[in-house]
Amino acid sequence: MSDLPEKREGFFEKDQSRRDFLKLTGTGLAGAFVALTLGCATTVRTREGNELRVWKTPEGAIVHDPNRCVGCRRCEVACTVRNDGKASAHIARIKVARNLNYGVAGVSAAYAKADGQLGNFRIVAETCRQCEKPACGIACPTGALTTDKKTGARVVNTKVCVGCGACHDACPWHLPTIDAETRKATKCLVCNGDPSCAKACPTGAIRYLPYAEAERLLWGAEVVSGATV
Amino acid sequence: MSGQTGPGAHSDVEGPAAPIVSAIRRASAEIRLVRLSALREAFPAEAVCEGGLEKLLAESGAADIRRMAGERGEVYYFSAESMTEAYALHLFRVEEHDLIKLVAETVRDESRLYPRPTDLRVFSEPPFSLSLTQVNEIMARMATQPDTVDIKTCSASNGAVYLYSDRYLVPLYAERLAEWIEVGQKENP
Amino acid sequence: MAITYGYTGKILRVDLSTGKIWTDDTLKYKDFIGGEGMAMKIMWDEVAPGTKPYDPSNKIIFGTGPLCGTGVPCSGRTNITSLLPSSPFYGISSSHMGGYFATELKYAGWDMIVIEGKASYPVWLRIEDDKVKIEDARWMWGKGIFDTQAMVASFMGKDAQVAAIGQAGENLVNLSVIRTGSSHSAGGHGGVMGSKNLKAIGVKGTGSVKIAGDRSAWAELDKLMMSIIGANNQMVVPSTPQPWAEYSDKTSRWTARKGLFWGAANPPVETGECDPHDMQSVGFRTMKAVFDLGPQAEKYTVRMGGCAHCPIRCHSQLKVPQLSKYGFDEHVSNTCMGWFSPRGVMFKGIKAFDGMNADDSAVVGTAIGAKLADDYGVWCNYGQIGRDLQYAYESGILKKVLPASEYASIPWDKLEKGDATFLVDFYERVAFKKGEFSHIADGTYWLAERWGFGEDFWNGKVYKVWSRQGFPVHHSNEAGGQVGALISCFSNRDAQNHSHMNFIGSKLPIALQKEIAGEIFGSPDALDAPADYKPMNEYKARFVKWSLCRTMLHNSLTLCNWMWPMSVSPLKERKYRGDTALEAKFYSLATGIQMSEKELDEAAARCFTLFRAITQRQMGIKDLRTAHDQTTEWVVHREKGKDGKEIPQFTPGTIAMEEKDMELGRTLVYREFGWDETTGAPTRACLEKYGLVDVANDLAARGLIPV
Repeated sequence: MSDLPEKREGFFEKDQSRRDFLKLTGTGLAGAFVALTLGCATTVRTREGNELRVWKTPEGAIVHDPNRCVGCRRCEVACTVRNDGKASAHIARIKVARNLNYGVAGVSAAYAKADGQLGNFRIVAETCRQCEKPACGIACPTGALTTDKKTGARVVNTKVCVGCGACHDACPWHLPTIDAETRKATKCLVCNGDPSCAKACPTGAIRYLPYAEAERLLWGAEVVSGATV
Repeated sequence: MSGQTGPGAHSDVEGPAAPIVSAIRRASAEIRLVRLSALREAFPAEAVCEGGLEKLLAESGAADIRRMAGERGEVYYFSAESMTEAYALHLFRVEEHDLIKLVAETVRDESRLYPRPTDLRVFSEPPFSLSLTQVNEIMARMATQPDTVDIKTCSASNGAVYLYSDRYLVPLYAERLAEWIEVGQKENP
Repeated sequence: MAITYGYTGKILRVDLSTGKIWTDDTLKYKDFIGGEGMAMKIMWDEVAPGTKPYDPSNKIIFGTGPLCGTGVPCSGRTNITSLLPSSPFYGISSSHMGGYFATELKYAGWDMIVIEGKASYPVWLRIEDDKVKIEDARWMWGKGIFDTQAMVASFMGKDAQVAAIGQAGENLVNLSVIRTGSSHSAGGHGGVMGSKNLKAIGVKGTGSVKIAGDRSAWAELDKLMMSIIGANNQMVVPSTPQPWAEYSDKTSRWTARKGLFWGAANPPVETGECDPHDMQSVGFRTMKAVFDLGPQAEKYTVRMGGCAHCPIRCHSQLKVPQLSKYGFDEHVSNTCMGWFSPRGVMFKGIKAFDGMNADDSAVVGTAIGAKLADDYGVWCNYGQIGRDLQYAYESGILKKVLPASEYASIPWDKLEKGDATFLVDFYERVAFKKGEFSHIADGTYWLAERWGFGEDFWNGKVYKVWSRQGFPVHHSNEAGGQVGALISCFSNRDAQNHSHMNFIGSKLPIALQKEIAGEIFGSPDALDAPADYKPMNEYKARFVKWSLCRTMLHNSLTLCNWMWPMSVSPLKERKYRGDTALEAKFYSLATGIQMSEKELDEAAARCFTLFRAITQRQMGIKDLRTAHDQTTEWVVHREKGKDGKEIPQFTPGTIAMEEKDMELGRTLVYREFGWDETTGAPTRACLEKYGLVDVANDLAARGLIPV
């Protein structure tokens, strides 16, 4: 990293995290002259002539603490009532319901020893990491996933979304979800920087953390998506 | 979440009372009362002004600052932002070190207010935190002191001992309530 | 199909005899609110008097309401209505379970499930949104509830919610449950499922419940509700003095405090101070493990659990490593009677056993019982099963009615010694209907008939039987004077009413409570100080009607009646007032159907009156006062003091009711409802006022309507 010119680092630190920068340079970025528009994914051209979309670093991400979570799922409905005008678990952008009874791994003959309400009671919610290089956004064939101008969250533009589910398939944790009623994708948009899920949590198990801190918690060796261990 | 109790928000105090008010609020946030004597030591200059600290605080305009006068001349302050008067009263009685009065008054309050007899074990827990020896000593002395003759004991069928004031509760009633607290409610979840 | 708000608009109908599955319209029943209210209407319309619980023509109705699934605090409950096997006249009754089943059902697009008929072999019902299928359950039959749930989930996926019966329900044990999740049991109707050869219902929903009102108005209302909510049973005072609190009461379920932890969490989580203004600590307030099981439970507590969309977590989830020794998994969860009923069976107490100290033995022993009862699916008749056992054992009746060899095979020495492994034997005999002893779970009425229980049982205060129907005290005179006593008179099972207790038991000072009672019921005299009762008056009758109707309302909306209504709050700045119009506010916003508090209460009174009419039709009698609404005699007998002298009623310290006063109470409650003041039967005028003309005509044709 010491080989990075001071000026460049400053530029990229502003709009993009170091990690993504290194990845980009690895693919041969044509030049730092590409103006990154604040607030949306921007297409840049690599030295080899490939188009690359560059994503603004999110301001923060949501982190869930399985040790404090009580599984009430108020977060899920707080999310969907605010963002969709209806209560639902399936399209909630924080996923508690699916892991509630049997954990992330799902039901097994050893369920009584495993995570979940029918096992050791451990509740692991999955939240969107707002990945620096979002698989959902990269996979979207219509460019419906962009970064929110204010928060940098990866958000769905429902006018452009065709509900194909490529985002759901591409996400390693399958967090983007297709709303069966609207045929549009839903994914965490951090509620303009004041996430409803965190506010609705009665035990403070959900926190919206600055990205660096969230990143540290979410990308450690022993974490599952969106939840600290 | 201290700071949210007592919705009557204070206006920011200015002038010589300001640091004193801050000190009281800080102590209250840590769930402590402040003695006037301690304030005098901490703020010697203000203490000698006309009317002294008490006048200064009374006229400070800090609506959250409460004053409680003890029996032996000590005065205590707290901020209602961080604790209720009821809680401060517990601390006051502990600070005053009149343990018999502490127990008797608490028992009378509960017999009158709720009404209910008082579990002896309550005094071993915060904010009272008396030792078992202290409690036993108080019990023995209360039995002989004329000003606490109204404090009586009763027990539930599981052996738990309760105190009550017969100014407010008749023995049969006190006993029934003790039984309800110890046994009845538990059988009636 | 038109968009519906609050309601999904669809009722799932299943006939297990024919395999027919069809859809009914919810909104045609909307005068009956939802859940229990709608179930009453369907049972009135479709289940003929004379039907028995285990007949294929009996129906079992799993109901949710328009607020279930919306996220309203404490709205996760399922109401189950059917005929009750343990009742002497198979009285219609409801059982309830929390958990996550009801919200999932809503998200799958269904407000209710109505099941009739009988499958020719064991089946389970699979609901995936609008895809519904009857599946073979022969492989599951004979399994406990935990394994059954896992088996269903293995078919449907990990996110399925499952309601199931255990061996007790399969074997038509009258006292059996339907259970969902880790510890959510509905007691009384397990055998009805068993009689239909229905082992389980699995449900998965990808849909939603739509909110009619403005999103921000909804968020504001949620915020208001969250500021008013207290701890479990709407206790609004902490159990220990707290800096933020004016009051405290050691019997409060608001047990959180500094230094009290979920001790088995990793790392341990402190419950803390829990200032009521702090929305991020509401879930810590009710540390129920230490409340239910004593201070020794702290170190075993992993977390507090509960139901969908409820911030008050009243189910203790424990890790009890000693359980492995007895072949159980070490994790166990329950609340309230789930813990107390095994302790009740161990009526001589759980003492130190198997080398453990007394404190640990109490937790481990209770956990053994809770685990067994929950897996076999055995119900306790609100704790009565233990007292029935106690009477049968101590009176010597058990020795007479059991064959000598059977009696000798029961490990009574363990019961005597307080060794809780007695429960292993006890629950097995019950769940598998082994021997004469298993009739202990027929229900008190049938058991007393069979084994010849004497008047000393029915009139023995210690046995706590409230009604000759065989159900016990449940927040009756001991807790609420005539209000509690009268509430218990209108049930076909233990009252399961907390509308009064969530106010009476708030733990606020009596003067404040009386002021609030005055505002709600018209006079402070509606409420007496605990165990200092005054004679009956019309305001208490209003309180009774209000409580009966609110509980019906909650079981219809569906809201948890172990939290609602919100008569009080923990907020000094609100003068500790709650908001009794919250149900109506949420209902109106969720459904878009404007209903005032009064209108919604009237709708609930309609449902309750219909419940009354069904009961009357089932019993086939004119005079409900005499035949249905009476208590056992100990309730109205003077208590004796330590000196052996009788204590007159209405003296501070006695909870005894007085016969004439109770009869006056019945009259005043009948008057409040507009029922006949002599017999307590609904009048034609009353039924017509509620739009129940068909009910009036039917009762008239049977000669049951008062003239």
